[in-house]
Amino acid sequence: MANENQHNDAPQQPGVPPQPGVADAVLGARGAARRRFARAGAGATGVLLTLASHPGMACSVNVGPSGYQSAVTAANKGLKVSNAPNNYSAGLPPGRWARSGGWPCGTDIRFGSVFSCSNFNYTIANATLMQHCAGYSTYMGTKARIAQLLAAAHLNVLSGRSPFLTLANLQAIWGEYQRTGQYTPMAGVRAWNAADIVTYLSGTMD
Amino acid sequence: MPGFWRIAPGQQLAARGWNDEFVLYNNLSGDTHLLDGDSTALLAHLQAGPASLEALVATFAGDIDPDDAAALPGTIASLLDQLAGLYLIESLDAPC
Repeated sequence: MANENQHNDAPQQPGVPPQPGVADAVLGARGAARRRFARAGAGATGVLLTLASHPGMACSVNVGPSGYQSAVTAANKGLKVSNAPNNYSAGLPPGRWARSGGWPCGTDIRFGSVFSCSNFNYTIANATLMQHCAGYSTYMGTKARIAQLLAAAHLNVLSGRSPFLTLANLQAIWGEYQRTGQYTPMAGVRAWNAADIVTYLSGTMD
Repeated sequence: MPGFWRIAPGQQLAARGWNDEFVLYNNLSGDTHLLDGDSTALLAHLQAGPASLEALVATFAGDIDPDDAAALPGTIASLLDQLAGLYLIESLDAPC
């Protein structure tokens, strides 16, 4: 499209070094900067519109929830985006923990003692982490699947396999999901539904 | 309020502008954003290096109507929060 205000016409190609698109467009001319915040008193507008992309889920996630969507897309594009060291060990999935003897905590710890549960989730709360990892409750559906993945993710945190996660991250996921059926990893993005949560947690494990 | 803000690592900020509105492709999220000129100016400034809210306010304070100066810190803070929510920028002292 021909337009005198158009900048950075060359399309971005994967692998091409960053282009000075924004700086070139905005700060290249002093006159442009002078117009900034002319209506500051009227409040911020900022982001006018976002066209969201929901790519296929990544098979390997190595960032916390707030960086998840970025990591997913970056992984799909072949880029490396991580807040974590590159040499960490991948997390183990529930089944591997169920068969593993090297637990970082007792196998009889109940899910509810780590993840606060409402009375509606008594069965999930009362099951041990081992029982969850072994899949005793998978017949219960998605909520039990999320609990199972959280149990394994917790063990991965304790064992140092998931340094990009914290127990607080996992408890926040469970707490909000339990209350609302979804989880919002950061402001301004679409909340994750149960399937998204399952995909994220699964992605933190082999 | 975090101390300093910077462009999210790996963010390329590929943008095109028309009439003081900018279409920006977020290569980290895959989303495409339509931004106003003010928020894009903030991105451009942060592209040169991390900056604090106070420094950003000082940078742009001379360019606005004095009547609007009192509202400028809040306006910029709000824009920074929006941009951070899109993973275009991040605070240097934020937890992972």
